[in-house]
Amino acid sequence: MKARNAYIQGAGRLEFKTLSPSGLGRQVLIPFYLESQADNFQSLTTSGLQNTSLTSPNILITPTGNGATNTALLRTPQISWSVLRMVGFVTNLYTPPIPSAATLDVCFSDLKVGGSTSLFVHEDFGSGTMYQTDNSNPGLRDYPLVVSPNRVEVSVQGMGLATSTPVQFSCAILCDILQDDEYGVHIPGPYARRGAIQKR
Amino acid sequence: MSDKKKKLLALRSKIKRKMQSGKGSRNEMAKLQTTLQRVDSELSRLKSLHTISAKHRRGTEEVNQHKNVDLNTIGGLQFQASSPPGIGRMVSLPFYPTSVNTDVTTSSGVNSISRTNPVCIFSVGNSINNSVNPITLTTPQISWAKLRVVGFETDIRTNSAQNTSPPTLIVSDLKIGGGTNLFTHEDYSDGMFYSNKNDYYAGLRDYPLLISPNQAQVTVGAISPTATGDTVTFSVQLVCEVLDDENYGTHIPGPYARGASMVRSGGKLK
Repeated sequence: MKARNAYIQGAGRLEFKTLSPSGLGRQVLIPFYLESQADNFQSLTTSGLQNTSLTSPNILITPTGNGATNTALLRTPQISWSVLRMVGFVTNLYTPPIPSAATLDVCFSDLKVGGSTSLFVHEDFGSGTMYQTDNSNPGLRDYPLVVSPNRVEVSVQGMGLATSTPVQFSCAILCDILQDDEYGVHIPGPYARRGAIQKR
Repeated sequence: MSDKKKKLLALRSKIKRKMQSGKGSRNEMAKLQTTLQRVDSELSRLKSLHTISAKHRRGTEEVNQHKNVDLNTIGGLQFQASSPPGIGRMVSLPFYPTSVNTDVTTSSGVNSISRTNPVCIFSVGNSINNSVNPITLTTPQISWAKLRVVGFETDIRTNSAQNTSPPTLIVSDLKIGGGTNLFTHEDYSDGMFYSNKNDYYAGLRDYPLLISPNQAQVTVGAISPTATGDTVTFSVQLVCEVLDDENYGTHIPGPYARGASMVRSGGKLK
């Protein structure tokens, strides 16, 4: 084996890999915010609990009965400074480490850009645990462009008992920046290049 | 003799017979020649595979046999080992608390800046229920190297009652010197999206150079479902590539930060 050859991985084809950043403008996150007031939902902000917030994406669900809570509509802000391609949806759920009552789950449905069809394959609600940041990202039905004034929206509801502990969560879309007014035009990741998103 | 080897030997005889007969166009002959070379190559590979297996069984395998490099593991199973990223790549540069308030404890104490220790503790509900007043963290001036910023990471550890939803860190406005925000969110985002426990790196709008006297800064706060009593122990850091180091020389950046993958056109910063 020519050990000086930088392109040889290892004897017996053992491959070495390291987790790396994804590259300029790839897999950036844009959080959803609670813009419209909804019962059972409150924003956790730097000024404390608020009914809505355009600046803080963390939301608290407080159940008031058994079963599903009310449904809230979350939206991303208008991103006027760039053209984005949406390539995923991720969540952070802060369930109690050792709950003393039934754990409240956070469920999502109807992820869409502007007035489009749902990007989830589930027509109704699905558990937010499927989309958690420490899971592999499940796919979406399409990788649409997000161009201002269009925004992305998703419906959310809690599912628990009246006695369940309130649960904090946040969610965001995963995007590749195609064009940025400040930083120019980027090359998207291979999953979002023309050849990989062909459709008939 | 394996079935595969028998089939390959039969195919080789057939090709040779056809070539010796001389029937067929020049193109057909060229194709037969190419196929014959492939068959020979595969037979040779099978032979070396058998040899290596026998040596392996006897424990006399030579590690530096160059043919080993071309061998796939039997069954096509591939092995990968996690590795260090290489010299000067993905180095972590911590932020230090340079603008503080009474809701934060640093290595110098409550409401005191620290330029030597990046770990801070937020006390939720100290002045605002469910929250803290945000603080600004800054990286030191790195005069001895030219760096390229390629990521941002948070390390968050919380203390709350075990049966309550825990608190978390929120982050906003990451910038180098007077540059534009490198986060895509104009306001706060959940710090967990940038956690060093995630199996991916959250992206940034740009991979700018960090050259002294420029410093990076970020604003952080904390929120909690519980009004008072929770704490968040945290540190945040930049992930950088060392491009030029006064002591250790010039390095090759990772593929994500090389010229070919940093191509961009238009924008204010060409």
